[in-house]
Amino acid sequence: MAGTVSTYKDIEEIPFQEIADSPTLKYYTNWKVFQQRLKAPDSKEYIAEPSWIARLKERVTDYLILGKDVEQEVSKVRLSDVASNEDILAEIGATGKMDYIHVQRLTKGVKVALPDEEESTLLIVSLGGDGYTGHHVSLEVGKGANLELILVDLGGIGNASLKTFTLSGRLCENAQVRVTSLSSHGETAVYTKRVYRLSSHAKLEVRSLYIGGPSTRVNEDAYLEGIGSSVAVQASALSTGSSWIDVLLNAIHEGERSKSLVTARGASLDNAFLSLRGIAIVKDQAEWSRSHVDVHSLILSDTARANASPMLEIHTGNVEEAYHSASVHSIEESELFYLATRGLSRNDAIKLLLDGVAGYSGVLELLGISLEGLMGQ
Amino acid sequence: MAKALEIEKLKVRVTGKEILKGVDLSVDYGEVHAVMGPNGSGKTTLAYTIMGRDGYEVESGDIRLEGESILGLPADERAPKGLFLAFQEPPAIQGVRFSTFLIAIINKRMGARDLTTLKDPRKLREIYKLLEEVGLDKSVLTRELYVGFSGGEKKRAEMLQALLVNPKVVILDEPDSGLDVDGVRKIAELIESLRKNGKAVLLITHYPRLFNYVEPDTVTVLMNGKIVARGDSDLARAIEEKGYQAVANVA
Repeated sequence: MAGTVSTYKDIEEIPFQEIADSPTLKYYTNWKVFQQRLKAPDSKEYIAEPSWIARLKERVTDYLILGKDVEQEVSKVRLSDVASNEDILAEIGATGKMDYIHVQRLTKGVKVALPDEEESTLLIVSLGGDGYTGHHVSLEVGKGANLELILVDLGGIGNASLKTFTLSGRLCENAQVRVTSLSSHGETAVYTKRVYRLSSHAKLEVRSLYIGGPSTRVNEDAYLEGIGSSVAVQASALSTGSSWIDVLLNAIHEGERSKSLVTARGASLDNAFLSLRGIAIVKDQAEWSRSHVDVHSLILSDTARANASPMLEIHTGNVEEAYHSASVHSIEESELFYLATRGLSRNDAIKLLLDGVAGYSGVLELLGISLEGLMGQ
Repeated sequence: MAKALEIEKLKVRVTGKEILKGVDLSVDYGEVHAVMGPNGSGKTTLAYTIMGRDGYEVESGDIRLEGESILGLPADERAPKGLFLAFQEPPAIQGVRFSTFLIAIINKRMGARDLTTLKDPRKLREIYKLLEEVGLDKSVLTRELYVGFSGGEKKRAEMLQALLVNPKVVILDEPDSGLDVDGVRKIAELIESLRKNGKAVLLITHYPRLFNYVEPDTVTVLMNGKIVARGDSDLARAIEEKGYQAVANVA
């Protein structure tokens, strides 16, 4: 479909997602919220950088702060103009309305390249605004290069704001990328798509924490194109208040002996909804691959809802390993009683469990931020 | 002067069924009071009722800590008063690291609002020392609470907490179940350490082998929710030789 859409009217005809974007035949994203906010004017004002961003800037060799414009300080990476709309659509594998809205209304896009054999610690912060904000990053990591990427995706101002944030990453042969990603969306509806394509023996490690807004859709795809390429995803998701989060983590094996490990822990409380989906697709040429999907959700109140779906789709007869597991469970009376005998009230127990779920990704520890500080509770 | 823990004519119902039918016992500082009985006699019900578990309905009687009734208090308010229960089978709690859990209980006792950052860093040294004392590897701190712990690791981790929070009364529910000989010896050593430190220890067990290493001050035998015999360590030896029924018949 990429490249065939030219007018806003055309875009309105496109559905939010293909029917059954997963084998479970269900819509897990609260698209209604996106629909309501589609006509939000472009953001004029952006949220102020939280104080902890300043600390992160000191830790890195390169940084980009995306708002209406780009604030940058780079020494190891090279910046250039973003690709054309058609290229972006192709890079992110556009499938639904939000992808097309995103390229048509893009606020700021940037192309970042790390040369072969170089090393960098790169911070990319995407700030939300008071209306619509769209950011795109094209990332190319050269052969044998080593990148520590910190991604911070923050919601904006007001309860009518909308944001789209996409990233397309190309990891050349033997490149290594470690991503620490924090998404905290407040009152903003956020559509996020990250697509990584890995060449031979490239290695990607992603640690992500998602704290959702009224509607958060996260789609992270890793295409293991090269022989021996590998991805390990360790994600946490928290849905509180009346948040609605849909997290979809895909590992697509195309190269022989490729490896994926997708693990996620989530918690929902109050009236929130959380969907955690982890999918490994092993294509016919991806022989002797190893895939492991493991997703678990915890429900912490009577009115919260959650699901956890692990999926394996295997198109070859030769796999070394393919494993999946999932659970959805609520807090048990026996657990509450145990914690109470240690002096911890129900509220303490919930805080402890939330902290545990958030801590699973390791993101807060790596960034030196507390959950309480981040959520302002 | 009131004893550390006194239980008077305690009758308890669980899901409508009377489980404890008038239990009297007490334990004072520096004492080990063993409560024995076959499976289903009401021992764990007694422990849960002392700690205030929901659904354990006290029909009549009283439970007093240092002379003050605790019946009106919820479980999370009984613990800070000085009660501690080491569980026979503590639940596995996914997502919560053992270290995070220990920090939370320490901070809570110190009145900290933030349960996640250790309020008193000196406590970390104490945790490491206690890990060594109970025979647990430091690596347990990074594991999820009781997820994949062996039976022995669970018992030792429960004992570690008993030593860490410095309670007045320690209730040990079957601390020796499922342990090998070395494990039983270790638990016995730790019980002696609690006694020497002046704790009141209520030791619940149905198997007398622990008394090869720990001499209880008092032994109470509970059967079908009633006390059927009381004595000293000789009573425990009699149980080992003749069984519960014979001891109950004599009493």
